[in-house]
Amino acid sequence: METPIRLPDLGPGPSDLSVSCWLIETGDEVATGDRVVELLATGMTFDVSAPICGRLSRIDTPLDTRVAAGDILGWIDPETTGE
Amino acid sequence: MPQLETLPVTERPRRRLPSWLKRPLPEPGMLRTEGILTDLRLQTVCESARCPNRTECWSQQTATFMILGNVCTRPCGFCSVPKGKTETVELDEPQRVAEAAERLGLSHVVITSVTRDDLTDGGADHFFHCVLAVRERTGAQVEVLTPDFLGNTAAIDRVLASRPDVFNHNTETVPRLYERVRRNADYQRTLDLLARVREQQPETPTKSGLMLGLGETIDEVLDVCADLKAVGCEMLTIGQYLQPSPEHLPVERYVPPEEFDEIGRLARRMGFGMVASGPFVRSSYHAGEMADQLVDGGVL
Repeated sequence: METPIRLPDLGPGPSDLSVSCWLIETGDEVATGDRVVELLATGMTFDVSAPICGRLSRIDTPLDTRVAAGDILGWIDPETTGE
Repeated sequence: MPQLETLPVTERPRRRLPSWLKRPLPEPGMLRTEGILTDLRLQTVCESARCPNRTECWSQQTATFMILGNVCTRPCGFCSVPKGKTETVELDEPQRVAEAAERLGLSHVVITSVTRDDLTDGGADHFFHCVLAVRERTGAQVEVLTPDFLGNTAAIDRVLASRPDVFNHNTETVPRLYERVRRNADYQRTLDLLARVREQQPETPTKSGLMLGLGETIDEVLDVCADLKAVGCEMLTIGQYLQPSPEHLPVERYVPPEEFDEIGRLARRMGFGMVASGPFVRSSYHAGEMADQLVDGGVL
């Protein structure tokens, strides 16, 4: 079953977030904790990691999409690993 | 597809930042800090100035308190603190700042303010009471980061009467860029303020800060460092300017970390007791460590 890559609650920290770069492409394999997407906030940037190992099956938030805590950024399919 | 130039600035695609500006995701400790600050109705420059370090600082339960309201009387092009009609000074604010410092368990408290040119003393007396309240309640070291008080020496002396542990006043940029970056401020007035503090209370270390990336040259930066040294400034912070919103001054250049290192090295060679130079350095970033290191004669 696909698992979402979800933007965690960042509290009062970074604001005005947008996707600045996907670090992997759809179909690429990832391990748990691998950096998959880079976000841009006011004056800083940070990465969101893969919650499980698998393959990036879908990107819901393309480049420059504005995002907020709880948003699903993309999906990882664990069943396609190693195919 | 509309041309980029025809789009409102807020809708234009944004560039990636250099890799050295990457930060870790926030940690849960932030929420406790936020809760205390909200509970006590306190402003922080961390939020108002959209500081990139607030994730790290708040996770460690430190914050820089901003007194005298959240509205500034100066139109500085780099700063995201709201400008306009100022707020009434809240007389219980010193006690609330002191309570927050106690609840956060701070051993080094930084108190700054918006510029209040509308007040006769620029808010100096309020600074005085905040420093005393924090010290009385917590015994913490207190660092003040003040506006220039329009050069009013009585105001500067009033803040000094609270005997802050560090007196910080930022230079912000090189004199050639003052009109664009720091309108209504005056480079010589900043130097005079730091000189006054040194002259009136030599045992209180003075500190100042600069932002890079606004179009200055390295020679201009080093000239400012020399001017600061000449007025007895002992502590120096140098960091990257980061545009808080598309409406603020653009970043002319992202200065690489190794260039910050080199400028820091040259500044130390001038004789500053403590220099912090790096992309994320801000005037109150790791302020307690910086003050302790100065006492120990070390290098941060």
